[in-house]
Amino acid sequence: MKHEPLLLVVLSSLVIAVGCAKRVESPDRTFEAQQKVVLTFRNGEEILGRVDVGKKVEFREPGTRWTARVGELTEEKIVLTDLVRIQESSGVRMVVDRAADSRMEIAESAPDKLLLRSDITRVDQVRTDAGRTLGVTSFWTFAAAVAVLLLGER
Amino acid sequence: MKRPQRIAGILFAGVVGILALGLSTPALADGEIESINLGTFGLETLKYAQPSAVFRPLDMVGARAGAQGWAMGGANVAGASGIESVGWNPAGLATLSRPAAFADIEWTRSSGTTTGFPDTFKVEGAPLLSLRTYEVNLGAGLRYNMLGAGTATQVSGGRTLSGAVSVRRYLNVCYPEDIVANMVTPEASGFPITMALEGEESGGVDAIAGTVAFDLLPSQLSIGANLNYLNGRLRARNEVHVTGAGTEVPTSASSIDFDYAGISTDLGLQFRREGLGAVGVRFTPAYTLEVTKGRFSSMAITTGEDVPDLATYGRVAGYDMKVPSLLSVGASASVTERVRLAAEYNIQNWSETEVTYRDEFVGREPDPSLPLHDVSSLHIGAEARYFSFRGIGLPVRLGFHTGAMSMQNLKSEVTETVIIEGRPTKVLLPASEWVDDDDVRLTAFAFGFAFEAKSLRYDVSYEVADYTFNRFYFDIPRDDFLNKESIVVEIDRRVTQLRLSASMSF
Repeated sequence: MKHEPLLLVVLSSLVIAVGCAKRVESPDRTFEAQQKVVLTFRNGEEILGRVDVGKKVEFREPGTRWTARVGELTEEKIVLTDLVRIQESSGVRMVVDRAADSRMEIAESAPDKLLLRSDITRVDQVRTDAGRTLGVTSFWTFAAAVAVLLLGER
Repeated sequence: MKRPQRIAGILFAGVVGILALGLSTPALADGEIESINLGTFGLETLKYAQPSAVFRPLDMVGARAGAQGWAMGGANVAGASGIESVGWNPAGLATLSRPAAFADIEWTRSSGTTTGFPDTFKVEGAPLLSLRTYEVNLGAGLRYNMLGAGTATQVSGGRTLSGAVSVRRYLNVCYPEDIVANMVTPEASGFPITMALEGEESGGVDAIAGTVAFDLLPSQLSIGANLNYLNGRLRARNEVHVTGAGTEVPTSASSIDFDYAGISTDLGLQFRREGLGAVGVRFTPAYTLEVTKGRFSSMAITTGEDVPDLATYGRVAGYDMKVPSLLSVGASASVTERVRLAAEYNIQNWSETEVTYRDEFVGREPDPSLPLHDVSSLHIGAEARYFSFRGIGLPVRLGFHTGAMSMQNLKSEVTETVIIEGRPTKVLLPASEWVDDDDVRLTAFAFGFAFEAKSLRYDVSYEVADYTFNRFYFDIPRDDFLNKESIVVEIDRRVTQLRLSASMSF
């Protein structure tokens, strides 16, 4: 476990980096496959992630969140497969339903999700907020140094 | 080869003399340890063994954390806001609107000049040494001041209820001093010898606090309170180094330890008018601090023949210290939209400190008081908000404060001449007659600035404080080797403090 502190630093950095992401709206509603984006559809559904064939993304319906894989991507539609419903509580994700399994058991129960690109109302690119990341990192580094001084006295 | 041997003899004698505290020891063979148990004793005895352990400032006002306030000379009881206000005025926590965290550190160093030390240093059987310089400075060091986090919630009528938890320095008891004496041997072609007593101290009385603040009138009148669980320790280590002729004498050392515990409360009130200014009051009722696990030890390692290594140790009797109440009142005024002025007055009657021993001990009569003076201080400051860069505010601040330090000062003369065996002889006065009625007055100037982004703020302050006070030569009231005539030296000290605070809201 000698790499534990390093792991902690990496995890903390990831948490900080994720926490410092910002959304920048794409005015022409276009996106690149390499970009991390949030696609918002007319009925309130959202896709979050890199939208490219085979990539894992997060799919959100009002009240429900799924992880999914992009099965098909054309000029007209986006098809999501392998949908797994997730619930997040206190930072812990739990799989509460496996749509793919139900497809196997109940056969053609339409487990894949078809979304029309014409229904996209908004495209946001997810970018790292460098200023905020720097600020948050510097604050927690400083606070950690103060904590070390405090504990060092004891 | 005689010269180095003679110098080494002087050095060895010096090391033994510094820490032997005047105790006579029988001659033992080299390598043996003479161990002396002083038993349990009180602070009166400690005054004679190491006066600086007792004649030191106790400070609650200077312990308040936050570079924003200190850049304004410490005039912050009216304007304190956010988590930082826990140390200044808990009512200021009601200004919190979102979860936030705060951290603060400071770095201290000092310089100064010393006068009144003798020109020469005489050791029996050794050549006269010429004392070129004698300096007494505070040990430089970095230390934490506060780490805290809090949040706020809206309750009925648009009022805010805020809460915070924090660990912060509550009472400063640390006062590490280094003494460096540079000497030369005129009879040996100006051969240099340096004697250094390096003091290293850590700790203080910390408060693990829960704070609650509430808006009585939304955004105008707020009250707040801290409940402080006090705990802390003082660990003081003194090391003696004597170098010369390419020789370093084995290091000797002494130590003093204390543990502290208690409970206190701070009460605060703030009245704010947007665009006009604010007034604030903070009151800390008297509280009792338990001082336990007091220990004193010294070890003098020698190499001379027939001189033993000398270990001296003892226990300082545990006692309860009733710390007097502290009152801070202040006001701030917005002169223009961008300029704010602030003033504050603090008063704490340290002379009312009461000491009640928990343990019985023999020796000197217990003194129910400490050598402390009443303290009052005036703080004024200004803040200007003219500068900004890409949405980052860059306020600049100036401050000044003046006041007394809590420690009583030594008189410049603590001896009287009596006739002993027909000869006039200088005799040390009892400790109760060492102190002067005059305060140790301190004057300080400060400036600082901040970087204020949307949710993050860094504050920096730099303070220069000057004061003059007296100390026993080599911090020993009477010693046949180091301070045969009970000389008191005067120290003009300049203390510089750099503080850095960071606060972040989420």
